[in-house]
Amino acid sequence: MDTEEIYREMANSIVSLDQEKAVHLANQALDESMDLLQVIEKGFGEGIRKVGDLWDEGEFFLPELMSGAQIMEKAVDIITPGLQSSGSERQSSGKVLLATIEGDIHSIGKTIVATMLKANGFQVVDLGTDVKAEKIVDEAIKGDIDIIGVSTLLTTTMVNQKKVIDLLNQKNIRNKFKVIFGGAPVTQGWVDECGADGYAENAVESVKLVKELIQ
Amino acid sequence: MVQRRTYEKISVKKEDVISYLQPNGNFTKKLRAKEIPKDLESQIDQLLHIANDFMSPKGIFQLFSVNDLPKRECFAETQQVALAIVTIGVKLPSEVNRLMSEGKYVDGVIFDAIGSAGVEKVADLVNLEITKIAEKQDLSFSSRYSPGYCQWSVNDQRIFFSHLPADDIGVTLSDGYMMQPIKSVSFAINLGTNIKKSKWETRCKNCEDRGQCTYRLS
Ligand code: B12
Repeated sequence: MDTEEIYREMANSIVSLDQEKAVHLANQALDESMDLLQVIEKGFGEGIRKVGDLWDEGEFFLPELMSGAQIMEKAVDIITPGLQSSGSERQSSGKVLLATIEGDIHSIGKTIVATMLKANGFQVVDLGTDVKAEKIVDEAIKGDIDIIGVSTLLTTTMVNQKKVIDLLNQKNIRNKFKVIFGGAPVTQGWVDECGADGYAENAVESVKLVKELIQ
Repeated sequence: MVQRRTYEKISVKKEDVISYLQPNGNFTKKLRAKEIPKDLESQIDQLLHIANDFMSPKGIFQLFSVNDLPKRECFAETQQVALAIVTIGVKLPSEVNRLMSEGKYVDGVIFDAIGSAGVEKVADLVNLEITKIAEKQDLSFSSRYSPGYCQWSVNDQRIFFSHLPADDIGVTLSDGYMMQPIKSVSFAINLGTNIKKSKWETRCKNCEDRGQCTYRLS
């Protein structure tokens, strides 16, 4: 099998949600001292992008999307020690901070977004739920964050999303970060009103949005 | 008089769980629900099998004279209103968080969907009791409706929490009007004469979201 073919097999193992095969191929990559960065980018990474598309197109149920991410994570976990010992590491596509805003304890949506971002090569700092704007901004500064993502479930908790932008403006550091919103009640109108940089309706769109903003 | 209910076990329907796990994107355009793969279906079956160990279904409700409630569009043509809060407790949501943090994303999202379907099931049970009371008194009754839907503001969660001792079933309201545990629902049912033809009960007929809203009453 030539290298390109192995990459294709790797992508396929993710798309067919075949964990055994993915684990086998990841180990093979280590044994054969393949270019591990390429293995992730062209191999497994290509697979997770397709899985996202399949969900977007209505072919995959949510657990199947999550299964793709779960298998991706297993494969990357196997490869990471090899990458580190060769002195390189998976290139981070960027660093994203995620939090559910104060007053709101809804975590599943934010966690799914975090999972898909990680699977797509972003570093994610997840602050959890019911997080105050002050804490979000402090952690963003400390963590050398590129994008701040704020999640919410209800219109009544959504109002607190704006506090993050207000605080960044107050501190004169609004232009240091991109800020994106998400959650069922969020609309483009709300994003415009707050002066945020965008929103996404689901996890796959979130990955696309973050990619766009980070370029 | 305030009524409290605790249910030993509830039977959550698989179809209801699946409805929360549907693919996104073009799904609605396709109109036809996609068949669920067999192995995914059996995984849902397995988790449904143990789900009751993680749920403590509880409900609380009371009938009020409309005169004891603030004036609202939804109360305009009724004589009595039943207010109810239901929950499945904190155990299932914590289990979801644990699963997600351990990288067991598939089980995590399925369990989360079971929780959503579960609390709706508890709402069904309390709903049924309320409609039976209405029938006994020869009253007509509305479908159940909740703050945060249609024209009813989430802020009116306050009405529920000031009229019902929600602490008794372990549900609290945050400053942002969110209920804890997360898998909780509040709802109202109108009871009176001629409720079926009231403006509120027939609100979908003149709604500008008609055709787009998934919550439409016939
Ligand atoms: C399932 C559901 C429930 C369930 C479970 C709740 C839960 N989330 O655990 C139950 C039945 C318990 C429930 C209860 C209520 N619900 Co409800 N619920 C929903 C429903 C159908 C789906 C929400 C959900 O969990 N989706 C699945 C997750 C994975 O999606 P998500 O959180 O939205 O996250 C995705 C995206 O939003 C995005 N995203 C999320 N965060 C972020 C962050 C960033 C940065 C980005 C980029 C993207 C992003 O990506 C995520 C993954 O794809 C929505 C309607 C809808 N279609 O969205 C209503 C909805 C959220 N509920 C609503 C309401 C009103 C309520 C109640 C107040 C009703 C009541 N009176 O009891 C309660 C409140 C509960 C509480 N604890 O206080 C309203 C809110 C409207 C409003 N005015 O605020 C909605 C929008 C329905 C409607 N009316 O249109 N609900």
